[in-house]
Amino acid sequence: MRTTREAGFTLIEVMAAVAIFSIAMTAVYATFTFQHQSFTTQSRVASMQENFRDALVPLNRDIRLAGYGIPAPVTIPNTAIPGGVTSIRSLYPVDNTTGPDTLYIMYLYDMDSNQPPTTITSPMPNPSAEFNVGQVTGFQVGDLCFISDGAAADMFQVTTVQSASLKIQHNPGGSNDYNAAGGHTTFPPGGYDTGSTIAKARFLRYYIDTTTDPAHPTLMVDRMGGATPQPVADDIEDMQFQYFLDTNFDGVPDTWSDNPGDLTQIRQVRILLCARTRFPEKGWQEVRPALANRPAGTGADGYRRRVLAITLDVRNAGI
Amino acid sequence: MARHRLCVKNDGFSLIEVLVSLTILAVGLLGLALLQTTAIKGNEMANKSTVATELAQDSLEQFRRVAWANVLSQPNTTAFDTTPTPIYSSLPGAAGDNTTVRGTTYYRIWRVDPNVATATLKTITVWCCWQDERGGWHNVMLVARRSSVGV
Repeated sequence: MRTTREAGFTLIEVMAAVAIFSIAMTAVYATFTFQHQSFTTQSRVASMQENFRDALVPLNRDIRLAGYGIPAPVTIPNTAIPGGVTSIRSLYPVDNTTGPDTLYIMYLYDMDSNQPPTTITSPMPNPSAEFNVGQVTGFQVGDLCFISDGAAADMFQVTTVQSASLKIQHNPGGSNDYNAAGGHTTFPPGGYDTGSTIAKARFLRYYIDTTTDPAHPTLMVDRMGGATPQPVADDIEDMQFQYFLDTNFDGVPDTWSDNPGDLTQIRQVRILLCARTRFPEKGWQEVRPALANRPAGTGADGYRRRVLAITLDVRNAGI
Repeated sequence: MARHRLCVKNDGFSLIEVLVSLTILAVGLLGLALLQTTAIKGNEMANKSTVATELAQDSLEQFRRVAWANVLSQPNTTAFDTTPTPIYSSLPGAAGDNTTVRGTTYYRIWRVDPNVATATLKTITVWCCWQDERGGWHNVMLVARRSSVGV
């Protein structure tokens, strides 16, 4: 009888054990959920901050370079920029007060050691729509290129590269919108002389794609040569630009504008970016903040955000 | 009988033992929680460094379009010493300007030194300082040179 009693547990003992065990497990579970939630939030915040830097670096570089190597406005097909714009030299802003802004940027690209500019070895115009050049290394079919003699510049799209005979052709037709039928009529009087430079062009459109995946607005760059736009940074909710204008042309900018009328007055650009976390979070309430001339959002949601404004000097502004 | 009793006693844990182990577990869990706050603070610090770097860069960019005669140190020169380093105790009063981003105020201090060898060159040093929640100061320092060419 005694032996049996001592081999088991009393009800009190079992209940005490269960109580202690449940206290311990509650603590362990609470710790786990807290750690898990914190980890999720922090990794989202960290990747938001990464996205932010990802967006800023190329924007920074391209805005600073805008206009480099382009002595005069370049003719573009009037379908390239909506609104019938037919020429661009450095920057072309598209202001938007109900959504993110768009910015077109153009400059000559010669920084890559694999892609040095070349010079033409016989004058243009040329009846066969081809340039005789010093070398063709790095030039690819479809590339947007400039020809410039230092006073004028024109853009064309490469249609054939002949590496043996050192010719670059720019035939019209097909999807080659940049090559006017019957040859470029915009070439300066007398055409381009021997020694004029041919280099790759950077003609870029920075915009935020809010339609492909409405839950994840993405900063995109369109290289304007007919290729599909590429993503630059994920979950960039808003991008606004402001322009510091030199309205009296004394060399010192004096007026900030969201939508400048005279593009040659632009001296500095302020980028305003708003990044947000990839997914909304339960219990977090935040409203999209106002940026530049776009008002703040109307309702709170669960996204965490980072906002920053940075001013950049356009090195090759004006003219 | 006595042998049996001893056996039972050695097989289980006493209440005291369980409570002591629970306490140790609690201390361990608290340590884990602290680990998370460290991670949160690290993220916050990274964000503030990014903001401060961008603000310092912003200041340098603005100096590019200032008339040559106006490329000068901030009016209040008590904010930095000759080393040169910012003097935190002079802040916020002596700061050149300040910007508040998400509740943290960033104080910018700038100093311009004419280059001795070349009169047409100036060295611009910008500090962007901020205070963490424990009162410690941090700064990002950027240095650039500007010539008199242009404006």
